[in-house]
Amino acid sequence: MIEAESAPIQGEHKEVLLDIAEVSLAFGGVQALSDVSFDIYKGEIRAIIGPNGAGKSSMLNVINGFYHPQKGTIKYKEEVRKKMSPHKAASQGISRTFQNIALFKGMTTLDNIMTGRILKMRRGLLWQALYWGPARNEEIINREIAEQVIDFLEIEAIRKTPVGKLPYGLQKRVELGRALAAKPDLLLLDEPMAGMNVEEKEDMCRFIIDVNEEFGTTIALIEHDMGVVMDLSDRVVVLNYGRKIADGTPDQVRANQGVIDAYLGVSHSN
Amino acid sequence: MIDVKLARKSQEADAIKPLVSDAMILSEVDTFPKLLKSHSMRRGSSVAMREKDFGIWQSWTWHEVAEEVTALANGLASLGLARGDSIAIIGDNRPRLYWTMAGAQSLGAIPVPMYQDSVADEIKFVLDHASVRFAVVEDQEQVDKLLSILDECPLLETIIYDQPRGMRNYTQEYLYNMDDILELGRNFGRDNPNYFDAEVSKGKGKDTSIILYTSGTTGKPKGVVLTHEAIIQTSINAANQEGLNEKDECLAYLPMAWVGDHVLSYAQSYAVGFCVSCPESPETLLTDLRELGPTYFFAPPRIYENILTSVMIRMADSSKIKRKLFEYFMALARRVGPDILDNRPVTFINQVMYSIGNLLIYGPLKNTLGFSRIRVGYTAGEAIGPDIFTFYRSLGVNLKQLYGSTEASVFITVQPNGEVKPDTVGVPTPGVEIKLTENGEVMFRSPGVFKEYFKNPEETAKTKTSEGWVHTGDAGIIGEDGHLKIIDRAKDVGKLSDGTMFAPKYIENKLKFFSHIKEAVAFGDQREFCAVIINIDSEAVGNWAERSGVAYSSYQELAAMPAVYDLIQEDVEQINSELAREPNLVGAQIKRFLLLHKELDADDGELTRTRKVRRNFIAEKYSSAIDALYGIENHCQISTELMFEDGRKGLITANVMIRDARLFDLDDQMAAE
Repeated sequence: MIEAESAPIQGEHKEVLLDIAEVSLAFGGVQALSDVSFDIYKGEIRAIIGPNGAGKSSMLNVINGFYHPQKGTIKYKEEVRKKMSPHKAASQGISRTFQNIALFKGMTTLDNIMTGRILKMRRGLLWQALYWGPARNEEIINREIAEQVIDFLEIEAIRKTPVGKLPYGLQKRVELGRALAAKPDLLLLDEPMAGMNVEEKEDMCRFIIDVNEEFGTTIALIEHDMGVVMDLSDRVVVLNYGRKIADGTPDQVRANQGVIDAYLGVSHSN
Repeated sequence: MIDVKLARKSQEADAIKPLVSDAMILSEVDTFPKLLKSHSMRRGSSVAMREKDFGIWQSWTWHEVAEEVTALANGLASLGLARGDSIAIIGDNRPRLYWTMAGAQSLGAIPVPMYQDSVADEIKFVLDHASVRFAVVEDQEQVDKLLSILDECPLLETIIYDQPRGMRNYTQEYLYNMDDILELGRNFGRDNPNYFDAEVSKGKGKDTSIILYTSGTTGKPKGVVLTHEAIIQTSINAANQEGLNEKDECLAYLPMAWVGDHVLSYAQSYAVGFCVSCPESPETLLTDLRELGPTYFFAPPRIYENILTSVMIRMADSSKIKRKLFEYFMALARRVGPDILDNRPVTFINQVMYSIGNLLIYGPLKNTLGFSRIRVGYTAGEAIGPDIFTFYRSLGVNLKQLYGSTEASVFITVQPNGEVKPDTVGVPTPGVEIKLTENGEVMFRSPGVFKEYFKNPEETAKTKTSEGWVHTGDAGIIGEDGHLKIIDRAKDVGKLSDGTMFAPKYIENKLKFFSHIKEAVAFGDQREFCAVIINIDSEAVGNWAERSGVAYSSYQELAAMPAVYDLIQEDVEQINSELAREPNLVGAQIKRFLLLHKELDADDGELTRTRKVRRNFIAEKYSSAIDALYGIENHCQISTELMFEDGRKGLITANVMIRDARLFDLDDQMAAE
């Protein structure tokens, strides 16, 4: 099995892995996020929910280092982040999947998962082309990790199938595989279950729980299926028009009047 | 030419002396654990087992297998498994589950393998009936099944699982990880170094080696009790006939609870010493088959059929040149291939053309399918379509039919090399005698005859005579060449109300040989005419729909299309014209048929676990459809309950069309010819 690079957190002791304080992000005149603050504990499943355009994907992109907030601080692993890039975020142990699958369609499942290991490879192009000595050992180690991921996600049968030929649900699973191959400390999932049928959703839920429990990976996910979110997550943060309107356990969030209003609409008659 | 040589070589190999003589085996090495020990001592470094794990074939030598089995047996012993206990084994073909069998047998316990896709109720019956105290299962799925019936199985004490995946939150004290059992066993072995060997030597050939529950076309499953002696002797006899030796290889992928897998992947491997490989997962079977290239292969007709269908679909999608080449050389192969395989004379030109075909088509095709090295390929369980059978033989794959049963430790008859015909099941294997009763039922007597049905003396007495003859329940004919031909289940052969002979299976099989038809159930006993319920093959008909630009969204919609009815009607009428050629079957032509709106499924009780049609059950469940078939309306309303895997139930209702098929006269056919 894949060894967890961080141990799962048990009981009351809650270590903050990522702390977001008063983050604001604007694109010209559009305010995507305003003064959003929340934290992610090590080892938890944290959901970010909200209606369309609430700023959920922007939030994920901020965590990922793709967007740079104009205001606010982000503390990751006890360190305040300065300038950030997705590349750096990845090498610090943050992996993600995308809302619209972003795999290499012409490559096989195995090759796609191997790309998740690229940042961990030390040898250059020439070494790898020669496939000799240290480059070879490195390839073997990384292939082993990729195979562990394949075993974990039960996708042995499509190991050598070009990803473009696979049904949507399996492509999503391969994408999760690629993110897992990097052995992340923090896994960001952008709508992992969008467009799936019930059976595929159940499978995906099981994999997300298994990743969290077996490897102790911290997971932050965006999801629209409320049933799934409430079942999976330890804590939920709700955004609406770029602002945080609620934060807490699924039960607390479910009972929150602001959340009900945001999702169901408010009556303006009185 | 290459192929001709290969075929000859394999026949020379048939003459090679067996590795161990029968006499030696039965006097000294009379149980499976003793066979394992002897392999481990004589040829401990040869590979005994393989399994693909993390993308790589892992292997274990006989010595390593013996060590694992010892540790496992010691572990089970320290948990309290004792001589005479039964131990359930449920899961896919995994090396550690096979080792559990050997481990349990070493202690004198009796393994009871069960079908991995059985629902909880079926498992409960067997657990109860066989008084199972220990269960060794593959994974969380099986553990969950057992836990769901635990309250109703008071005897079950201990559950051991092979795969720890997903088991981290299970804290029950009677649940064990197999790794821990192995560790426990190694410690136990250090403290009691002689225990294992002493237990093994207490075992005798006459002891019960395994209880295999037959899925049973009617009623509750019966536990067939087989002894070490019976299985080993039968395994050796059959292996000698085919010249199997320790260099052979086979793939273990059929359910472990099925006697075919037990004898081929376990008994014959232990008796002869060849290597058995377990696929990575059931879904990767075809890839694994191709990578391994087994020399000894067993599959029910369905598998050969599926492989052929996928080849044909891929050929239909390939370029024109490839298709033409394939068609030309396959036609040639059909003409001369079987003769070349059987070493019958073939003209020089044909030999040259066949070798070119071998280079261009047959060789690469066999390689893609993983059939390049097959020396002996068996098919059994059901009749195989003559087209399918000839396809493989014409490629040079030595596919043969076998007739066997659980009660015989598999082997009753096999087609000897050089005498293979599509419509017989061959001649008795060494040591087996067969005879027919007055009403045509096949009976056999052999060294492999079962001891009894477990806790079921009435059935035992009904099936096995005091002289050791066993009723098979199959109706057959023995031809002038001594070959046995199976027509149907003896009790199913009936008569139409006008007295015409009606053999439903014969008609169903003929229908099923068409690629568009997956299942067929024929009715007609004591009725005016023969009518059929048909299940279309979603893959083949779906492919046809795609090619003809027909849009559909579900199986139910596809099966209700008039165009699909037309397609099937052609098949039905072709059968009718064939039946019209046989004077005593001309009256049993199919007059009316309907296409069922759902696939027959073992989970709904319509098929057995080995996917045989349960005719009476279907007759009852779809009685409204049958009434309509014998009525005057040309459609009927059917509603059926179906069960999901988790036990929930749903209801589907459909309005199903009924078609009349054209009937042929005996005279028409004569005139046409």
